[in-house]
Amino acid sequence: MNKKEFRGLKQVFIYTFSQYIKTPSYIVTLVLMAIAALAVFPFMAKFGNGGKDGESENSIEKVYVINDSGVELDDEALSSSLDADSIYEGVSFEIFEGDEDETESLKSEITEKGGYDIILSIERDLEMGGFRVEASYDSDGNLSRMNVSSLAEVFADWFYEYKTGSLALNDNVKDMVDGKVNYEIISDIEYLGLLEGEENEAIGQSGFWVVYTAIFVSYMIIAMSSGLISSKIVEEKANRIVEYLMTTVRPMALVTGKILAMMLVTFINCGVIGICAYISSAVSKKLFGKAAGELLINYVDAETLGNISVPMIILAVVIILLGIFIYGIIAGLFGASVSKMEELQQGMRGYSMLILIAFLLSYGALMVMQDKGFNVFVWFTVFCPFTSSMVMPGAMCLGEVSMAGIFACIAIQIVTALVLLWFVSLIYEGVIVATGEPVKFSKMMTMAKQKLMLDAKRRKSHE
Amino acid sequence: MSLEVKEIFKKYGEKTVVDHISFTMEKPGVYALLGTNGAGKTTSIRMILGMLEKTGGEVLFDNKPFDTKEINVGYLAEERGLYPKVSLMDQMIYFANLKGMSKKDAEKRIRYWSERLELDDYFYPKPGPGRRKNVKPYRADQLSKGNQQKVQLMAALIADPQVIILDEPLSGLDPVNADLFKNVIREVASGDKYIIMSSHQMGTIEEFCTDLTILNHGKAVLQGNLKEIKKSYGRVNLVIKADADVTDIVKAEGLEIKEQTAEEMHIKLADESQAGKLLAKLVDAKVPLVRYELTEPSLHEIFVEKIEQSNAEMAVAENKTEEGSVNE
Repeated sequence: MNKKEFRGLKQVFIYTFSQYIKTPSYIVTLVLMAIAALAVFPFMAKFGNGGKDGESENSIEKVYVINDSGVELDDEALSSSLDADSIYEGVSFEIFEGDEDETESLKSEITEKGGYDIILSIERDLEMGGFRVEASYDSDGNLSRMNVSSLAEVFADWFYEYKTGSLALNDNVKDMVDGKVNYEIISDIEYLGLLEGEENEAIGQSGFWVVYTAIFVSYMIIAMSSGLISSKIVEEKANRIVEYLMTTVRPMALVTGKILAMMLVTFINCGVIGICAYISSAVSKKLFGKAAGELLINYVDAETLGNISVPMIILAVVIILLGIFIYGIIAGLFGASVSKMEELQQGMRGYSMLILIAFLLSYGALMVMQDKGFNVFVWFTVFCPFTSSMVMPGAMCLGEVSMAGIFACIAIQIVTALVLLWFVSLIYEGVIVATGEPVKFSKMMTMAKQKLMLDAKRRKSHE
Repeated sequence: MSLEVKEIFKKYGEKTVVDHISFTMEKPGVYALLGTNGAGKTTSIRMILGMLEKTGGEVLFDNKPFDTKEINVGYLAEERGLYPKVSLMDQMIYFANLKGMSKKDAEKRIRYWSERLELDDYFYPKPGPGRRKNVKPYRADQLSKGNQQKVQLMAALIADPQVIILDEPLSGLDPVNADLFKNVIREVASGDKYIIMSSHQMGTIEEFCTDLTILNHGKAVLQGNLKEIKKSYGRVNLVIKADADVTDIVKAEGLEIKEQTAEEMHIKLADESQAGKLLAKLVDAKVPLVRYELTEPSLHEIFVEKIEQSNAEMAVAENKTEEGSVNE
């Protein structure tokens, strides 16, 4: 593979890009996405959980604790359950010792006051062992589920530490009682500091939705871009334009130019949405006194929100763009294997299978994250070049991957892309001019083998 | 400057689809590449253009490897193709850009060729009654097949190429557009252009081409200058038009009547001398002759004869091979 193989790349890239952005469907989609991004934060401020009467604060004021845990709690201990710099600082706690009727009337009282208070009930979990915290709140009130869930999570973590502390054990015994039984596989990766986080902690609900959204959005972007690349290639084959183009453009330029054009389109889309979201946050701050961070806290926990920064977003976009490149090459190859639009679905079976498996693996990793946290399988999907573009952005949001890990992932994607480019360059010329029956993958492998043998023969004869 | 094709061949596994084809264009002109369907014409053309990798052989232009990056090449493919939903102007500018032309130069050439090929209404549509002032150029799918072909010819010639390859340029055209194409090709051929034309229309080939190669099953079965080839066959086609029936006289001479209509009789001679003998007989019989013309065989006849001969030779060779393997 050398530079000559990409002759005509610039012209193909410019043409594909300029033609695509002129299409009415693209313009309409971009405008709609921009409008949605502009409206999102003012909409959330006005109609979301924090804006029900326009001026109420969306925060928990008081927590009533019904303690059936068997561990003694007092108001002072409860007040210390929240760190001074926690967003829940200022929330007051009260041990509630009423009966069932009194509990019911407490709930009515909470509702009447506007639903700013919650009831936490803690008891022994006889079925599963350990303890169970139930959080009740008025869903029609001024609190969001995310808000309550977040507080309950913080409280549960605190209680876990507190319960053994209350037994007045010495530190040694306390460590033995508290200590979890873990196992881990020692590999070189750990010593590079690629893996962060001391234990395999399951992700919370907010983490789940963040990763889910990232997987889904990445998958949609990659699938749509790759689909467009393959259909453009088949269009050129079906309309026989490819024969004319190949007098000046090399086959690899025909596919790579299209891939790069789609990457640029995606980058522009992300940029437009990002700028509109920024403007939206500013407008929301001006009109309703709440910027993006203050609104998103109702849906995403503070730690995750804190991990999302502009450099992180840029790196996530780079990883998704590299995913487009990898899948674009594969889609381009399978797209070129057919000669008619009607055969495209048949020809793309291999690609469709691959991206579906990648999506399912990514989704599986998410399930594992929710259940067990980051284990070997999850890390595999984070770094595997076919799944990293879906899983890594979410993992970055959760703060589970170090900078070294992110750059390692990007490096793996780049190497994979180059290897794929090399393989495709061996056979693309033969595939793109083939007419008639779709070229099967087994035939592609034979073509690659023949090309390698021919090149070796030529090298020998030159020597 | 010469264009040399030297021993190019193409194999797919064990199957040879083009078998060591060679020909040379010493000077600008029109060269014909003929053959039956599946003979290897398009594969040969693709190898010459570098679209398909050759298994062996080389193509040289001015004693240097033929590289479409260095040499300005125009190609009109047999299988026509345009982007159906893209405006003609955008496509043509793209094709011109691919050839290294600037947008300004491209627009000049587009203007010239659209007028020359009578396509200016499609490239520069004028507002008419009921149409908006700024009318967009037409898209390819809004044109008839013939007009699309003209657009593709424009694409092949837009960059004023030095080497032009026309694969079945006149197929599917009505007589009016066919004449227009022929005039353009004639005009282009009169310049310093190296043109390789492939066609099944022998009449067209005879109009334009000086040299030719006939392919059959990937092999060259006949090559050379068209005039020399015809001369080598001799003038063996006789056309007789008379006011009386001459069938008996012709048959008495043992001559083969190829075709007989109410007007004329076409006779195939074994050699030219038979024409003189027959004429003497007709004069003796006082036959009122209207036309007595001796001509060379047409390219069509030469083509058919050569292909049949080649097929027969191949059949014999295959039989020998089969017998040999059976004996073993």
